Amino acid sequence: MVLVAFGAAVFGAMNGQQGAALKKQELSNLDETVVSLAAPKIEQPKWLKEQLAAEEARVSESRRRHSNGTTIMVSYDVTTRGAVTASVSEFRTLANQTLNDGRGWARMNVQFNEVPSGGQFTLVLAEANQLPTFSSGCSVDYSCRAGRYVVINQDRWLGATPSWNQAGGSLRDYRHMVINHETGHWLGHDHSYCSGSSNPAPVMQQQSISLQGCNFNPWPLASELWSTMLGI
Amino acid sequence: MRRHKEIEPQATAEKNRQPLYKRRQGLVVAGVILGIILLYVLMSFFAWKNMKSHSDAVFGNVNRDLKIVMGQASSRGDRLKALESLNERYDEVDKLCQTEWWYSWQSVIPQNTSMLVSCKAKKTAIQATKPLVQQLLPLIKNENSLSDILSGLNGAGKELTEETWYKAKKAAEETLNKIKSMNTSKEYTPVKDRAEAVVTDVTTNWIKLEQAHTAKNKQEFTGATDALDHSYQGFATVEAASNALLSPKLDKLTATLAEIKL
Repeated sequence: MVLVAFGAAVFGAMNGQQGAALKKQELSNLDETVVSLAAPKIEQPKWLKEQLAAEEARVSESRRRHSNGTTIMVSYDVTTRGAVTASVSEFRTLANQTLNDGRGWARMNVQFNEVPSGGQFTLVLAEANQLPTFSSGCSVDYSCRAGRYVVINQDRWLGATPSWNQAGGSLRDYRHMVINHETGHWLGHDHSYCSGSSNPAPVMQQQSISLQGCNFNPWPLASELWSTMLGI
Repeated sequence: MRRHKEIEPQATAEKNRQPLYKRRQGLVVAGVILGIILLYVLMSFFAWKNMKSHSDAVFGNVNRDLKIVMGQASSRGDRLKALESLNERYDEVDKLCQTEWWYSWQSVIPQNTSMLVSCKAKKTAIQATKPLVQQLLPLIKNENSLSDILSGLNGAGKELTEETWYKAKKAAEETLNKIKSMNTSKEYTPVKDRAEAVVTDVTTNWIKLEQAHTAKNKQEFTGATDALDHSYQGFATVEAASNALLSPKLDKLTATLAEIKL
């Protein structure tokens, strides 16, 4: 066996053939080029650094106020628009409970007080087809915030959304979520996105449309406890 | 009677002179024929000897190319040159192991028979690589051209600021134009198309990043940055398409080259 192997090796060497298969990399440099093609590291532009610093400062300030125990009072009034068939008193009660819940925006040491009129914002329970009357950006399919109006779509209030229901969310949690989400816009938040699979969704994520792999969550995350509207 | 006797010696001389002439002529003819035969034998010997030495020389050249193509220590450039050189030798190889028709019958001579069998075996083994080499060479040339074009994307540098990322966007746009204007073989089109799709994606995301920067939109900017990372990862699909096209052909070529015993 050894002699045969030796003979084969000598024969191979005489023929200049090493026995190893010819690899693509031995003739082409495409693979090396592809490995070198990574996205360049992009330094954050000045404006972004400033925005991030301002957000960080807001969060710090919010935490400081929270630790100081200072309570900020926010007033709101409740109204309806269009043909509303849902129970308005139930809407009022659940909205107030949600806004002042210890898991919600109240963690910023904010107390939401319903007033008969002239509140800092108006919470509206609206018939679905009335949504576009608040703003061209408002859809008959979802709830919306337009200026000082925090508008809850009656269809969503009564039946949540297909994606929410398919994910197994309860109607009560959906109602908490939609009140917190739309009020969050009034507080100064834009939409945010799922940070990773199975993480709790930020309340400012459009959970009515898609959970993006996150778990549904009706309450603001700790990182969302700031408000440009209230200066915290 | 006497008269008759006088005539007889003259007739005998006449008779003796003619056959001598004829004999000489016969000798000359025989000599010429023998000479021709000897010349033919000699030329046959050299014809077969030349055939062998020429074939051996060509096989030696092919062997030298093969050593470079298959040698582990060969550089990529030398390997490619050797493959091109091998490709140029095929016409010469096709003409090997042949003599002029007036010598070819001599292949029945045992010495020539064995020489011819060995020669034809080597020739056939080399000829078997011809379609593979001729199929691969243009693909490899296309591949190296694409690689050179794609490497232009690195021209802007690896760390960019808002003052310099326009260079990366410009490089991506130029790369895209170059890929679009590439002339490749039809077989290489799937790899080229994949590269074009990825570079289009990269270009689009650089444009989005610039727009988000102009609008100072944090979410759009962050989204464009993430999308850029993702789009650069797409180059792995170009590599995969190239592997799918070339690796089976190279494996087949390796197996065919291994059959050549020179």
